[in-house]
Amino acid sequence: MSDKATTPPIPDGPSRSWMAHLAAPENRVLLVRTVGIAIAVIALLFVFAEATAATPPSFFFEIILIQVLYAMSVNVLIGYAHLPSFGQAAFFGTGAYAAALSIQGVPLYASLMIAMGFSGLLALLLGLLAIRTSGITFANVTLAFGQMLYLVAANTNLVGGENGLLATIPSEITPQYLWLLIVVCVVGGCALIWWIFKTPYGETIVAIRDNPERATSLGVSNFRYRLTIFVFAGALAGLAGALYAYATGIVTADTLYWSRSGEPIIMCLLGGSKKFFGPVIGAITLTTILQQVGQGSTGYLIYVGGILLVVLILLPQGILSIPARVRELLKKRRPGPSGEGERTAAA
Amino acid sequence: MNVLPSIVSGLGDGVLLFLIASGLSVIFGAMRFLNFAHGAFFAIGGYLAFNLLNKLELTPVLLVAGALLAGLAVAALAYASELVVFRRLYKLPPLDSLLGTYALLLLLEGAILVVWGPNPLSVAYPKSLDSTIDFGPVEIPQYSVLLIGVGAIVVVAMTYVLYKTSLGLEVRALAEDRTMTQLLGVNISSVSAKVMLIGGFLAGLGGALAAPTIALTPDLATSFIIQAFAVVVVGGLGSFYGALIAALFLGVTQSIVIAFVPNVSGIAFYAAMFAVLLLRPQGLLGKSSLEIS
Repeated sequence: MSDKATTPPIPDGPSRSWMAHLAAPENRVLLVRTVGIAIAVIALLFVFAEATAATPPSFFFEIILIQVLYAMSVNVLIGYAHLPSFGQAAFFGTGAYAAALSIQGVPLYASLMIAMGFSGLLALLLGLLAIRTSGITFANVTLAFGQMLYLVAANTNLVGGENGLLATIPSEITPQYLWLLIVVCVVGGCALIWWIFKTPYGETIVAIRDNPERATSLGVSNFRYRLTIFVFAGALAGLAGALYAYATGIVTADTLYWSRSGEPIIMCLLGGSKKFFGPVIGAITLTTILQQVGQGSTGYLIYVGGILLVVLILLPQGILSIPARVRELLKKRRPGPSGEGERTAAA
Repeated sequence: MNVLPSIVSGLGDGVLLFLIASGLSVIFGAMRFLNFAHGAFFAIGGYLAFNLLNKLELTPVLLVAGALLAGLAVAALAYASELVVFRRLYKLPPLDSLLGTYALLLLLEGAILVVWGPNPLSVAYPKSLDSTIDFGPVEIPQYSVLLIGVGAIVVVAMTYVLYKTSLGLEVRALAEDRTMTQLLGVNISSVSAKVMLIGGFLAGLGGALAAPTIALTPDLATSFIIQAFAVVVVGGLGSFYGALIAALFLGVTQSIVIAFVPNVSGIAFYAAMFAVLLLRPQGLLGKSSLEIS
């Protein structure tokens, strides 16, 4: 559980480039560990899938996993880099469209690569403009960009306008295989995020978040770090979008709509954007709730709005902060160690 | 093709955007707080105008009177939101408070669905304003002229409030130096409540005046607020006159582009926004110092 509340030291000094950071020998052990844990989680999810049903697991689990990846990619920006992007649907949707358009012509892996490539490229273009601004302006520039892309897609007949496109995966890709693909991509993506924020590159991102002036004065190019992490998050959102296209079999302009940018942010907040697993908890919770009330309905608006407001006011650090909050309350009640309460809260 | 009619109708659209964005911008200057729910205030103004006016034989005077009433009702709603919700959000980090207003927007949109239903509603143009004024080869839409007139009155009234009243002085001081203004004993929560009242009134008025030009649907709240945010950012966060210039500029740009290439309407609007921000990331009349909060 990586809690990035404290400021890490600026790693190694500015003389090394961010590319060199990633390749440094001291990071290899970490890389091996991360990959090991990821493989273990994938194996576990597989056992779970085999145990729950002989047939491939339901569509609902696929959507939850995809939302987890999408929320994690958004948390890279709002939690780790403090780049409050309100337009990640632009990259999610671009990935979905690219996947739907390319899956007919090229193999599955090429199609995934194309989706990530296009989203990343688009993130680079937007980033070159948006990273020059910050805070509220940044949120609005990304929001407007996403909305513009939505209008473009909704008005372009080539991509089906409002009705969208079918994303028919070739018949040799079985549902079981698709499930494996989703599990590997989602767990792999999360592992990649975990690993990145353990490397000096990721720690520099966090250092810039906590004190941009100090990072600049140490010779770090804030712009370059922010731009690269923005592109990384965009490409991951594109990956989530591509998986979404394969899973649902259809891509509509709605995948670009701005409420799709808002949802992962709500998930991060709900779970706790300061914790690594916060977005995971948030994505599972919110997706389950949305499943019950239905997308775009009156219930959707009132539930999502109500939950978000209550969480913001009463539990601003998210669900994962409940154990700490309970511990704090118990400490206030009776001074001295309170092992009992701690154990129930952490369970 | 003559562009004059496009310019006039673009100015009319710009006034509508200005009515939402000016309130947003003044509130941001005083409170460093951007409000998604302002879009819902606008939409509710439109729906209230429907309730007040749809059975009547509309005259321009009746329409303006109805719009003023709708504005007052929405001002009351904005004041209630300030007391119940916004006050709890001011302490939060900027992104969290923005999300809090987003939550309120969703709730109010849900309320609109419950009260007025999902089907589009419409308000007719006043009988005497539904055609165009003939200037030989050029025809000017009458309703746009009414909107421009209302916009001019609002600019004069707001200039008076901002530069001739003690509230205006406090608002400008807060925008200039927040800490110092607080140290001098200005009561922030009273200022924010008053500013919210004014902003709510302008949004409600704008919604009511927009009602004849658009179909009233529940997602009106969200579609207008993004454009209003764009206006606030292009004008420069916290700048009243910046919002005015940006609203007119973006409204006219969009209107002219639509006249030549009809199906890129919203796209031209955002493209113009990016063009301005590429040259001036802090907005037309913005100070970059306001951003750090």
